Amino acid sequence: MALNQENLDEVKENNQEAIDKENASKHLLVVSHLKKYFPVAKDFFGKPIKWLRAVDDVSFTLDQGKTLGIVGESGCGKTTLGRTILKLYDIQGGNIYYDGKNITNLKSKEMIPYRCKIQYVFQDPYSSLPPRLPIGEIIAQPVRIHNIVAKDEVKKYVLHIMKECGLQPHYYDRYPHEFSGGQRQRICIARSLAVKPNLVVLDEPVSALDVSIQAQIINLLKKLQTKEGFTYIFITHDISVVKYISDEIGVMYLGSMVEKGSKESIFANPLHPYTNALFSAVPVADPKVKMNRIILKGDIPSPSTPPKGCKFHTRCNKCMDICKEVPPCFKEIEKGHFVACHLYDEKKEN
Amino acid sequence: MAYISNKEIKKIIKNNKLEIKALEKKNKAYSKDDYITSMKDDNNVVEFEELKTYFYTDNGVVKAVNGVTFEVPSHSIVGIVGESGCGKSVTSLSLMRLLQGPTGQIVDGSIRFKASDGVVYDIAKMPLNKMSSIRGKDITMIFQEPMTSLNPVFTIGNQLDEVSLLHNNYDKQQSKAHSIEMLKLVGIPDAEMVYGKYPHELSGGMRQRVMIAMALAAKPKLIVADEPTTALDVTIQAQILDLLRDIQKKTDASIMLITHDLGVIAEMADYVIVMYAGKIIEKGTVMEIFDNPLHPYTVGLQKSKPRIDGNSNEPLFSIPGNVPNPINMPSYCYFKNRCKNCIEKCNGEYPKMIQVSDTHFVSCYYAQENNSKDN
Repeated sequence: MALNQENLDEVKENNQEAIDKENASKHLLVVSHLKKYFPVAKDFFGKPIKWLRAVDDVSFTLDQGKTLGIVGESGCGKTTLGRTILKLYDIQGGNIYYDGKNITNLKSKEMIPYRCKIQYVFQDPYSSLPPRLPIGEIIAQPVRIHNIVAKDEVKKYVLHIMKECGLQPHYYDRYPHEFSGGQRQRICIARSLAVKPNLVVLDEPVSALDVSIQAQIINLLKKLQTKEGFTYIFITHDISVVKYISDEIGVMYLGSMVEKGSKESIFANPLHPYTNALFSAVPVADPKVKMNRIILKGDIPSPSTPPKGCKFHTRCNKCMDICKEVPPCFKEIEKGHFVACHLYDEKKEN
Repeated sequence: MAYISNKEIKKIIKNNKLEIKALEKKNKAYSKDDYITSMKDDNNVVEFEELKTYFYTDNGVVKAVNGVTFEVPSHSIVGIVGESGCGKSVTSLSLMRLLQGPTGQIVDGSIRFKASDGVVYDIAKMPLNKMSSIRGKDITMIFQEPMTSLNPVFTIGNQLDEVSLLHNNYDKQQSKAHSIEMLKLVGIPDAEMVYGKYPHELSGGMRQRVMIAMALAAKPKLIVADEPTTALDVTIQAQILDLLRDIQKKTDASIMLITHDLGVIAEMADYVIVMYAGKIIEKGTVMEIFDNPLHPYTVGLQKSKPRIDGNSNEPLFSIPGNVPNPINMPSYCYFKNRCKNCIEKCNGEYPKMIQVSDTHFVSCYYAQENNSKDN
């Protein structure tokens, strides 16, 4: 029996790999059952005995030129997901395919050609720029390292990139502290785009900015995407921003993706109770609009001790008995619309 | 920011020292007749008049609040909205007299507040030791970051009891009963257990509830909520806003809600005050501000906020440029360089506040002209 089970697992694994490989040839990025656990407690010999499941079995695909928005509350693992895709963290399980090739187990030297294809924009523009380098040098360094253009053309190229991102040429010799938050975020974006990437992971790029500046940056990102055909993964906690920039949306809760689908289908027909509550909690800037608010009870449980069964069952208003025992599968309900909830298991059986 | 030489900085520091000394001398000279006044309208809880709060920094004088006039009527929620650095927090700190001295100083103007003993005080001129009988009792504050504003080495109960012991003249038994009652009022399940816990044992939403309980413990007349939900997640934010609205109805206190989120304002406030670079540019009821915004900045702010129920395929409206440097503000309208509707008058002096309806005020030449045409 035990042998059979092992065999089954092996077959399943092989199947999964075959499916992933087939997927990988069709999509730019395939993330399959990705897991990232952090050790929170160690025994006497330094062996981890307790794990924090920051990213727990997340799968999605992303096409060239599209934007995937990832939303969720703090501590749901959205930033860890972004960083794990770039392999800034070790991966515990699962696979990442970029452009048809499995990059999960590449060594750091082998990753170098992919580094300029996949870029990252950090959340805080104040701490992610080196204070001792002028702007021109900050943008020029990656260009030189990756040999994007000939050596004598670097300055011309950097000035061109700066113009694209709405930075004036006389900023070239200035230092980061001379700029405001919005301009710094433009510099961060210019630095990532200078190496001609294909996929850009944007980790809360507008959260630290004021509303009027936020709109400038969102428009800039959209303009660059239509012009250069970039693919974005846009990580944010602000649901209304995601609506403006994304083609597809993934909703995360406590390390798992609970719902994923195209922007239209998710906003028109949110299936998961958490998505419903999240959308209804957003305050609308119009005193005449009265939202039918679903107020969730309680707080997010600690990710190191997630509840048994469905992770959301402690706050869910549609909780059933099965939710407390069995974790739901991530299933396709409509075409391209995935959800992990037991509410939709039943419907299919009936 | 323009480059300043060491010599110039020394000159500025010397100047600042003199000015701060003169101000402190002036403040000390105020007598009882100066700071006991009367309200303009008895229906108001607090009235700000031409309040000016400056910061004397080494790079020059920052006019953080530059002539602000508004009032908070009783039993209402007044929302102050603006971008970072517009002076909304400094306005509330001036009201609490919590400015960081000696750099931060109230230079001019008055804040009239009717305390619970029936006397109307001018808070801007009051001596600081007198202020402690109002602060924490009649005016209380909910801060943005609940973790840093609770003391980590005392239990929740300890910190809550202190309010009752100081301001309500309760003994220890009564304070404890009152504190637990307050914790129950703000919807904390298992209040007796939370009473004995330390702040780090609670989650962000729970801590903010404790802060609200603390603000309510002395039965205040005015609660100043400075970005109460900015550090919280959306689903927790919805809980806290719901609680604040509920409590305002139950206790009849007024709330001064400071936030940068127009969505929160639209949902909570009765009156809205829009600030830009230390000045009020528009004020009115929530319907007037959202239905008929007159100042180009208010219009731009509303359009540039992405909306969950909006059309997401059009590009977002954005206001070009940045907020001007707070040192050496121009003499003309501060918004002129970012404004699309500039007219010739805008090059002149800063526009005066004009009245559009009973409650709606705006300070803009363009709006003024358009409005007179309509009439």
